Amino acid sequence: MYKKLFNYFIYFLLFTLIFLPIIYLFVSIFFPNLKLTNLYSLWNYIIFSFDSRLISIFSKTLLVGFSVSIISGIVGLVLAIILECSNLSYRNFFKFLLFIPFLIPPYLLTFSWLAFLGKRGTFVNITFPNLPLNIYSPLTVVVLLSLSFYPISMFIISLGLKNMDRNLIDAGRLSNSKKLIRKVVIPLVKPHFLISCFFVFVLSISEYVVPSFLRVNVYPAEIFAQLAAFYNLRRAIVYSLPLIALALFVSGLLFLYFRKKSFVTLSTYYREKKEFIRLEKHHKALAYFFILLLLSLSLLVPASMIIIESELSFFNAVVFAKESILNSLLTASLGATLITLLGFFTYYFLKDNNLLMLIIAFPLAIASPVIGTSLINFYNNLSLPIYGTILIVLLGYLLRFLPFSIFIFAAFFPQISSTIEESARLCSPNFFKTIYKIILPLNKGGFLSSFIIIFIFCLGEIGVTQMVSPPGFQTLPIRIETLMHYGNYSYVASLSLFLLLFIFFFYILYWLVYRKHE
Amino acid sequence: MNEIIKLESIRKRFNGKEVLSGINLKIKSGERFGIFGPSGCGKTTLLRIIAGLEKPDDGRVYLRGKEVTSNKIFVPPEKRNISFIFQDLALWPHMSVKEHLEFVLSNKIRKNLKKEIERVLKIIKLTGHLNSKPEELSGGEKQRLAIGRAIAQRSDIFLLDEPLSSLDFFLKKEMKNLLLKLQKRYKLTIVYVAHDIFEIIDMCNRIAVIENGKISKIGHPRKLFKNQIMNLKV
Repeated sequence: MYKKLFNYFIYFLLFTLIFLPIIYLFVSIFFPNLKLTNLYSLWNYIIFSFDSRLISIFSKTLLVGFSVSIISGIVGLVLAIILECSNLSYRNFFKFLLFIPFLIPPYLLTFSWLAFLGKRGTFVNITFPNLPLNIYSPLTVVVLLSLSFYPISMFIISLGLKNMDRNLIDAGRLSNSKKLIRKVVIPLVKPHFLISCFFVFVLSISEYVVPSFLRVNVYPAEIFAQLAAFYNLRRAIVYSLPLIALALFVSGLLFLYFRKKSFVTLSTYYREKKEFIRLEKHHKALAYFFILLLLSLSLLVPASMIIIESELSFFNAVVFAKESILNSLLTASLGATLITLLGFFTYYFLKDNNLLMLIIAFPLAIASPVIGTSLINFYNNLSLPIYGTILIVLLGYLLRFLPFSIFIFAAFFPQISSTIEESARLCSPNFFKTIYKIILPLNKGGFLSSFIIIFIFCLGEIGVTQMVSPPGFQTLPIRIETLMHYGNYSYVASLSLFLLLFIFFFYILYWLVYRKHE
Repeated sequence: MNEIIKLESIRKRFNGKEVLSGINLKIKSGERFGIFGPSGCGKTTLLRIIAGLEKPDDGRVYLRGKEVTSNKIFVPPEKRNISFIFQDLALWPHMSVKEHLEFVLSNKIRKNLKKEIERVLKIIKLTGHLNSKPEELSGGEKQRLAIGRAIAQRSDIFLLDEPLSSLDFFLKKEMKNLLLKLQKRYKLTIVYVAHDIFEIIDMCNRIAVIENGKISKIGHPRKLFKNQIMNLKV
């Protein structure tokens, strides 16, 4: 009884906090008085809005998203196979390092690469002043986003590999070891590869900060321009329709694909070691080279450039931005708590429903300015004390990062939970007692991991925060962005360094939790 | 008959607990050898050690007179030419019956692949299920596919890890007959792990009983289990 009621309550929360603001925005823009007679003019408005220029930008954005997802997927697949299934030394250490780039906000990565290769870049000015290098291109956007997002592909595919029945691999080894990877391992992790591509695709097509740094006009930047420069909310919403339609279409395809794959599961508690690939010396050297190259491009160069650019003004910058730092810490910790709690219960109640899980992930496809606008639009019209407070910032985080928390729980939730829960329910009919005494303790690793990862994401969030922040309230990323506009690069680098150190500290905490759980 | 499998002082620990403590065993070519014991006594671990899927902490394994596992030597499982039927059968969910056999046979032969697949399908009576995936097969058909995969491996050593445990009485009988027929026809050496006395009596002509990580008894199953059988008859 209580379980059912609580289940409905979670559905209600998800609908109210996540979908209602978005639905309300669309309804209020297109059907101001809930009149459906405007459909014809609405259709004309939509048709009129999409001229050839916009279609070309949309195609370019899709191409960028597609390229990033494929590159990240392939890099992630290779890394996951090497790190999960081979006899390479220091694999755990490499796994630890290779996930960090995903935690560094992509705009920091771009800033550091601009400091290295851009017009005022160290490398170009000092080493090759006459190098005809133009990094302000869609290709650079693809490379930098791939460097940011490959860890998520690696992580998802690794889960697939860990979750794979060891006997299936052993049977393949005994039968035909030469074709094992191609015929057994890759087909079995294909669903995870596709999911990772979907996640990366959705994240890439809604990313606009990195392209704008690199002066590449992408579709979400058009949406942002309609909001920020033209104050044309209606057109911004119309512009965001294709992105949403595309995300729904791709998630629908994935759903149809998964429906036929009863063996696919994203949850894993089965962490047996599977070192079935014995790399020879020269293969090992190649693997080390590949990993070190990736680490250099996604971690070493950015971190070094940020340190160099900070010009020893680290402490001054931290004192200067202490209020923003405290604001960031407050919002990130509250946001991470809220999202972790809702992420847990959402996964708990929806874990058997692939379609709903994909629908929950769909706000990822909505550009952050539209999310911000939907929140302002919704809560401004309500007489609740949310708009103008940090609560609206927290709701923005919730819309952006809830899918990640759900995903973390999917990785941590023990597979044995159904029987464990059933036996607990036989002993005590109290649902909350079962949750509190049985399910929660078994998932404490998932809770800590979700809290820390979401905390890191919230700490670096900029897209929604800058739209919904109350007057006079600045988080650290917003302060960094403001300083960047004023050209104060040493302070930008110093505060970025502070943010990186903070992220790194929490990441170590996460890793310790993860290792202990493993 | 020659010794085809020889184990010397095999030791294995899991999480500090010794599962196998000094197992010595010789299995002759063409034998149907059973490993019997209670759950968790290390039967499957021993089988996996023979296949090379698990490394012992100490001891030696010889296959066909060659040392394949010791402190210095470790021949990987793919180079041991062993057929293994897993307890859960380990059929690849994404592959059809044909693809299962093709995967194994393509490693063994280059020509007449189609003919060879048909030959194996006839033996396991799955000719009408060429394009079926494991989830479309019944329990017995799945079992036969696992046996067919092992036949396609063309090995003289079959390791079977409680392969009939999930089947009903009639299917068990059918599979036992099939396995015995194949053993005779191809002069296979079978190492059969089970915890069901009657299954092991029907399938094996010599067995080893593992207790507390050691072989406590070895011999003909009917002689070893004489008392138990008598009790059941009474």
